[in-house]
Amino acid sequence: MNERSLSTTTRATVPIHRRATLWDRLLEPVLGVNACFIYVFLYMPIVVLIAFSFSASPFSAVWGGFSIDWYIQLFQDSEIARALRNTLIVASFSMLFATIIGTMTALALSKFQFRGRNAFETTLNLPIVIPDIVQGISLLMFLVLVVHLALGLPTIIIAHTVFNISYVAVIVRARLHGFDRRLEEAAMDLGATEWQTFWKITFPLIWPGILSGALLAFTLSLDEFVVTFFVTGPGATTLPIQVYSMVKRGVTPEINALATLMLVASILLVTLSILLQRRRSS
Amino acid sequence: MDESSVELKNLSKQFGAHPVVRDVSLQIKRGEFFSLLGPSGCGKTTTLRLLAGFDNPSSGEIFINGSLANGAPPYARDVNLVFQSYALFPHMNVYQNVAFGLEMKKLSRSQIQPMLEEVLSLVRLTGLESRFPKQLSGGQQQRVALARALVTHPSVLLLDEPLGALDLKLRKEMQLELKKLQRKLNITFIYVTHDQEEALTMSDRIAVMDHGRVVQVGRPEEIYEQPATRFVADFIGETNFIEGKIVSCDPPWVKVDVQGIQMSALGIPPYEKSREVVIAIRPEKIWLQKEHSSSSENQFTGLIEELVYLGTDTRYLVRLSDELILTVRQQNLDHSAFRKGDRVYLGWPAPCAQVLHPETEA
Repeated sequence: MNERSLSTTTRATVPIHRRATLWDRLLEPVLGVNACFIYVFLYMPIVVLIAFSFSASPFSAVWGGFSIDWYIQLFQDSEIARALRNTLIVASFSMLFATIIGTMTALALSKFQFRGRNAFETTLNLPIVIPDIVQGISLLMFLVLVVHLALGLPTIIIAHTVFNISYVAVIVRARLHGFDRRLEEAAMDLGATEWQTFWKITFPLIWPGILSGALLAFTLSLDEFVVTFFVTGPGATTLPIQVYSMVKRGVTPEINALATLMLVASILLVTLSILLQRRRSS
Repeated sequence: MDESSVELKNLSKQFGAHPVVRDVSLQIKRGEFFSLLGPSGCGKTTTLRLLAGFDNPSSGEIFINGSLANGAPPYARDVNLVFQSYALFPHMNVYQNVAFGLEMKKLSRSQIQPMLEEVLSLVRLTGLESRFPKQLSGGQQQRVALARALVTHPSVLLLDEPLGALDLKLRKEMQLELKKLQRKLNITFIYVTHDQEEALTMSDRIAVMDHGRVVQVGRPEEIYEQPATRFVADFIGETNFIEGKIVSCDPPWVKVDVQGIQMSALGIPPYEKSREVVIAIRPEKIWLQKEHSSSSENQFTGLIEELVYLGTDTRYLVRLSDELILTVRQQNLDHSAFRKGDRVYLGWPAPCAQVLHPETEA
């Protein structure tokens, strides 16, 4: 406490000793304006999108007064309802599978020393950086030509599970990094078997990491487009694919409303995931 | 055989190509307070982990209560470990932490309650049941760890430097408390420490370890008074090492020539003449006086080079010859202490000086 207040005072006194030059005085407002431009550039399109989702006009770029008609129409659209259902099925199952497999992978990586462990860990992280298009094509080839699966919801679930495993494993692994292995030893020493030790000690201490990984997996699956586009089949349209096909027919304020809702859902889930990651174990 | 609580036979452990425990054989009696003492990296903690079952020995056998324990998982062994870092479960309160072992034994809540009350009063933690580990002081955490390990009544309690994280005063208190507790419960304690004073204070017997080997096993006074090797003499307490050549041998006495000065010391094995040996003598065994003593045999003259006042006693560096300086500790009984530059007479009773065994190569 004392230390912290001390360091802030020293930091605050430093600029006083340094004379502000003319150049500094000119630069300061320029930097401020620059920051404003960046924010406008990043968020203006989104703000416009949200604003027009509440516009009464049937044209996307004309303001026609406030209305929530598009939201009502959205909820009555059976095609969108079906796409939403598909999306939720895919997100739920891929989250479940990826969380189980990813958590087990992270546990194995942190618990055991085995040959090729580093190589395994690196390749595990690879799907995060592999271009989506490469992943999409390779999964399509593999699932259709090698495994001979019919394209549909199951293939989308498999594809989403594949890239989600990496994210879950990375997040759970970060959580395990601060986990004291001696707690498990202490539990076993006191008579707990490996299985009891996991459920009584390990899981209660790392569940925020697991849940956070699961939420991120759900969010990523929710708005995944590129990979889904390759492995989707008839009757297996997810929400992002549905939006894409609607846009091809013209952008209506209904799409604005849908996009706004997806944005809100994503922000909520990601925020929850970050909050869980920050939660301290001790 | 029936008496030994824990027995280790030729126990060895290697991590990769690196030997950590080498050929350790020990017999620890039931109800004994046994310490494994040595510098860090000497293999004492690894030995403890082998006993607890966290690691498997590379070779050798472990017997607990007369039965072979090799390969048995930690939860199947009748030994509990008190961790150096305590390893308290952070998501459980004191009650849940201590009750953990009993719950694993499938005891009912009504059976657990009295046992818990008993152990918590034993370690003076009554009333703190609902606190979480992070809400406790270091000393309290230490006692929770102790209670958690004791509550299941293991036949052997393993302690891995359990007092290492406490401050000096608390550590001294806990040393006595642990010793009392051990007497009261009559459980075998195997105590790992690098603190020689702690080991001397608490143990019935001590095994001194160095580079994975047991160098000497004995009661504290044996270890202190008759160190087997130079390592033991050096590690435990302060020692003067005097190098010289054997003049004559008259068992158990050995006469040694140290740069022209003749000294006698205790040395059991038959030594041949003119062999180079090391004599060990504790600083507090050496007497110091201004007058020549008529009765003493091992008597020399010296010059006080340096002195350090330590409160209860004073430490003197006394020069006997060009290359021989001895450390002497004298209790400060009166103020007639010596001053720097004084010429003094010094000596020791011959049995206090000991010819050390030559160090066996590791």
